[in-house]
Amino acid sequence: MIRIENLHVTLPSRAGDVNILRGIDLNVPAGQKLGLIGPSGSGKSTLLMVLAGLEPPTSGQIEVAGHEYTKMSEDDLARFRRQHIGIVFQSFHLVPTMTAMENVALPLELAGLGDGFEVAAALLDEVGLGHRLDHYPAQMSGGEQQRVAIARALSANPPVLFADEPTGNLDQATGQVIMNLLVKLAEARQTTLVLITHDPELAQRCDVVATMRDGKIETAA
Amino acid sequence: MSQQNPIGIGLALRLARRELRGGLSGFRIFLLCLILGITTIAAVGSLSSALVAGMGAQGQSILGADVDFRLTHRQAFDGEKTWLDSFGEVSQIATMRTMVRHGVNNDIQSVLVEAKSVDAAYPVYGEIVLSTGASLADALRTQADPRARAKGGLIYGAVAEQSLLDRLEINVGTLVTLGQIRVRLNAVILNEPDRTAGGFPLAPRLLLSSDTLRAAGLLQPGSLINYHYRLKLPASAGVPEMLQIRAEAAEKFPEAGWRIRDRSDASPSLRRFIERLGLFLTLVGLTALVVGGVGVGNAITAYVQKRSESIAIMRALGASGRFIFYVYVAQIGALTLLGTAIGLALGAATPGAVKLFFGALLPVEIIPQLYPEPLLAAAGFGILSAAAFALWPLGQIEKTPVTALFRQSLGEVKPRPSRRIMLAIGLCFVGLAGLALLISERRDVAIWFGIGVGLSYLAFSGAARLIVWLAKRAGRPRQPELRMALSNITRPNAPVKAVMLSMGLSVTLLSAISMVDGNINRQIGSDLPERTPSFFFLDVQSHQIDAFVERAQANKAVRRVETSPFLRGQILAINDVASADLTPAPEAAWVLRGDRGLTYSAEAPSGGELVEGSWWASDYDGPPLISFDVDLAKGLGIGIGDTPIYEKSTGPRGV
Repeated sequence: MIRIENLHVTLPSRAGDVNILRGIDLNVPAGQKLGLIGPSGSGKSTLLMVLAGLEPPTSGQIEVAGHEYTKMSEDDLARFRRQHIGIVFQSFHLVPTMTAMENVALPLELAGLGDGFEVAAALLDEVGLGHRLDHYPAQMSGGEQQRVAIARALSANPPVLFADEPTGNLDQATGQVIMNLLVKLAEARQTTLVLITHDPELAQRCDVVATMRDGKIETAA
Repeated sequence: MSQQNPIGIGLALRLARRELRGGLSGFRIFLLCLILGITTIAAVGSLSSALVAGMGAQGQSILGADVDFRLTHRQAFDGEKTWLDSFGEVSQIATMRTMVRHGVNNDIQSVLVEAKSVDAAYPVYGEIVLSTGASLADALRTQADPRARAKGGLIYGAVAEQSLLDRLEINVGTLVTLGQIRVRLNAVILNEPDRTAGGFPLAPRLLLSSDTLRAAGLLQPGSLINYHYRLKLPASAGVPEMLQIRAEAAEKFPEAGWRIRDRSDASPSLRRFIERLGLFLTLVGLTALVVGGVGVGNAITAYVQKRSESIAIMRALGASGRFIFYVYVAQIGALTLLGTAIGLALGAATPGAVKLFFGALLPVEIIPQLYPEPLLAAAGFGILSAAAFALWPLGQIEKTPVTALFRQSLGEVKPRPSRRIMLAIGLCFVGLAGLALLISERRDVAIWFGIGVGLSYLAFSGAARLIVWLAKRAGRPRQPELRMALSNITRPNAPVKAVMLSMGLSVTLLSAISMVDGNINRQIGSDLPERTPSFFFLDVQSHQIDAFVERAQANKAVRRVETSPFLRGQILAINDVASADLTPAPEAAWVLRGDRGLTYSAEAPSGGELVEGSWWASDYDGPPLISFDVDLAKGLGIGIGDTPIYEKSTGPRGV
């Protein structure tokens, strides 16, 4: 499902170029859950941004769901994400002017699927927020917002789900609940999951755990 | 899951509506800029139209007739008078500028007045209202002078505007001297229905009877006097009948030299003044929109930066750059329509408000109603200027990489909008210029206005770049305040250009208005006295010249006396083409309207410069020759060898 070969990302800065990713090779079969751990600055989030097509690589090959990124424009990648990729961010990234239901329905609307609100209501019910459909993000707790974000990421039923520190902004108990929900929903849909986390314990919930350091994958277990 | 539909405008509008739930707080400057500019243009246009419409509706009372025939220097001949009488009631009035004196011995004050003598039929339309409530006939009546009864002296009645009484510091009932007679000012004129028929007056009105004017001895041959014959047609007579009368006049009396006006355009000079003032103020309003446009651009840039997270989320969820562009164009479009609607509503309400608060002060009644043309022009200016300045920051959204959106580093990433957006921006500016040309009677004014605004814009943009460039090379000052100030100028996304443009263009606009005002005042107050006589006497008759010059030169304060023969005449035709059929340049059109001053001399005048042709020999004795002002000749499209035909009281002369 995901194949990366010799991936490099170098970003320019005033102090000179910074090599964020330095030759990553990775294979994630369909339906597998990959946990990526590593210290801050190791390049985990950049790797996820590149995998999601949000950050262009400097060099190397990326293929997700049979699509080679290097041949795609920004708008091609946007269209590709509509159909194939769900993303859960650490800081939720809900649209503040939209209700929970509208946030969840947004990927379906962008994908041109007519019954977005019906699916969104069902998904929110599934994540335990059936009573919060018309609430705005500012009216919800962090845990509730992350549950909305998970529902949104899965609403278009993508084959690949990327989660970047989904529990990073939550307390431990809420983080556990969110993690359980994420794993349960991914398994139920047989979604390929790439989970980035600081917490090795959370990463253990995945089929494979890889450790990143200084822009490289050191070990995979 | 149901079938997939392509995303389109419907979804963009839906998402725009959701985005606008965040409120209008980020759009205050945007809306204020837009509303101010549109309100100004709509208000000026509507007010101008309401005044012109008022003049049209009150055409009869402003003109004081259905059709007015004006003759200069002479009264109508019998045949002309008989023909005029055949149409119905005719009122004859005469107007002239003269002096009124008051005081005794060395304390005599003289004031210029616009004297108007009227007959018993005056006014044929409208109503004259006097401060005493008396009828006009009573106020103008002549009475025996009790102090001079033995000599058979008379006191003539007259009424005047309050400003005459103020200037002479006198009250109603005071006797003043007019020519050779004494006149009692019996009342103040509160309303003179045809006051604006001759354009804006230069002096207070003095209204008297025809007999009084004759008795004053002012009706000398060659006096600058206009005789008006005012026709009151049957109520059923409309524009076709008036046109028929004009045509018949031209056919029956082709050499009469009278100027004919009808109630459909009762005061062309006032109408022209209002329309030109309206155009000037519209261009001021358009400049306000351009200055505001910079604010519009800034407000949208700030809004887009504020919404960068939402934009990033939508891009991450699969929205293309162009789709996001549509979402934000829909938002700005909706707000533009809101601002335009508010501006138009305020502008459309202006005539009503002006009538309510200042109606009594205006010379013409305002007709408050919706005037579509100025409102459409104002809407066009508003929408085009909003689009011209908003499309750049909106076009940048489309091209901004999604990584910059996520890092919220929009200020550092400034992509150039796509080619079609650049084309649209260019079309908006062309549209603005086209609209300015369309509403301008004087195309050259609109063109120079556009060039001026464009050059100012470029100059201030260049100055902003220069300031940033200099600040970057100024080094690092020791004083922290100075260091912070410099770094604030050179930091990414610093508003140097916006501040420079807004301040610069605003100050330019204010300076331009103040310069126009200052130039006119300086010309009147400073330039002219250096180049022109301290006193200018008209109507000095040939037999009075020697005595006049002798008396003037006897005064030690008089350094120089110059005399010049002077007569007046109207240009009837040029090269056998009637004046009415000519199409002169706008700046020269006035030459063909009404009388022009003519003088004659064997020698070329010492103060002038002969730019083309040669002066006639001092003993020339052939067909009449003339010398003509070069700028006006260009405006009329004539040159050496052309033949203007002038009218004088005795008939036309080809020269």
